[in-house]
Amino acid sequence: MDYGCENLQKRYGDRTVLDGVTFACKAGDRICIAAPSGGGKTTLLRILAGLEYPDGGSAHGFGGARLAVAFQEDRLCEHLSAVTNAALVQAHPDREAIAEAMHEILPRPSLHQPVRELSGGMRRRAAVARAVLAESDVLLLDEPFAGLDGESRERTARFILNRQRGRLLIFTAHAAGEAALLDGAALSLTTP
Amino acid sequence: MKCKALIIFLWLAAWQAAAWAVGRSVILVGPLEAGETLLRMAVTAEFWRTATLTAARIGGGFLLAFCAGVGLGAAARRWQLLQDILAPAVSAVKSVPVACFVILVLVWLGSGRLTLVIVFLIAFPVLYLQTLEGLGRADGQLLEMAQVFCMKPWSRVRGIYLPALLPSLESGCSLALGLSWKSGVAAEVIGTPLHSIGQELYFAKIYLEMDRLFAWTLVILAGSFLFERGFLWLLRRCARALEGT
Repeated sequence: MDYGCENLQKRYGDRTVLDGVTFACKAGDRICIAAPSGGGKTTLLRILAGLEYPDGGSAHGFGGARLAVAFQEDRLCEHLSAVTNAALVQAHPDREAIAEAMHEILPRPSLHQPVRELSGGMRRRAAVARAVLAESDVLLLDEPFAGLDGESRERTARFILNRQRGRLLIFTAHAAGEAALLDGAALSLTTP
Repeated sequence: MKCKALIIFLWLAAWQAAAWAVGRSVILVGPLEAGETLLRMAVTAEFWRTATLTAARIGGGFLLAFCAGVGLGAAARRWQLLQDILAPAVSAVKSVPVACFVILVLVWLGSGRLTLVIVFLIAFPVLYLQTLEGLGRADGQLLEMAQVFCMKPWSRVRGIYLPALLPSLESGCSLALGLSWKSGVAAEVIGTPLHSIGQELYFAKIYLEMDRLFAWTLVILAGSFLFERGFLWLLRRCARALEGT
């Protein structure tokens, strides 16, 4: 399956956020969108996820694909556990398998607690795990390592890589180190 | 807790003092006399029959209003056209005085189903509007997440809509239950259906039996309190069961 976008443009009022973004990729690729804060990373991911429309250009391949997204905000159902949050987005969830997988990056007692009781780092890992464990063709991760310390980052990166399984992985990163963790081909968004 | 009990005691003392000051039981009786009459009534089968029938009529009307209010509220949140169609009817039902409905229902249906229909008409707009408002508070970011993951409708209800709806629904139920008892008994006073608290209040007025009037008022207060506590407890239990927490 081929994916990509051509000459994507997006403006908010007078401010141009994306100006002629073009790339092509296929299932199994890993793409890292690198840009400083406010550089359009999240906007690009939202367009690829179909949540926003570009002012110019087009994206292809994403419309018919099953998407899984870890948003910049965790967007978890606060009253539910990490396992239930992951189960909710699956068609036929196996709660035991989800808990077993999540245990690789989250302590076991935290798996069944309401996520509102978890720390910021745990919530981030729960949000990333929810996206990674969902059945999908494309995995979009917006700053998956935000708020995670060194060891957590590495474990989370291993968790993602071990479960990519032929899916297209597109993620955003602030720093070069974060891009290297997932070994992604860099797509640089130059601020217009 | 102690403070609350003390406040209640102070009010009861003020009431008793007022009764003693008036000194005429056809105008005002104190809590002691009302309590004594209540105890005397409570040992008769007729008392329980009357209280149970009124409670059943009010409870039935409220449950119907709950099902219709939540069901139509959810549907109207989904389909704007339905919301637009229902808006004038809901506004009218909210604004028209209970007495008008009581007379209409008496003419159309008689006094047998009066309480049930009046309670429904009073509680429905409250529950419908609270459902609309609660569902409108569903987290937009979570709805976007649900859209991206193509979440199943039931998962959306469990994860997003129920937690948004519950606080509004709780306050709506609390308000609607209070109004149900007030309007239900008021309708019974006008329509005087057989074996009803309203009929008892009517007779108490006719025969100037203030002790019975106050005793039945205490029954209404207790019924309203128990209904509210019981229903909210049940609502929270059901919500937790539905959410799977």
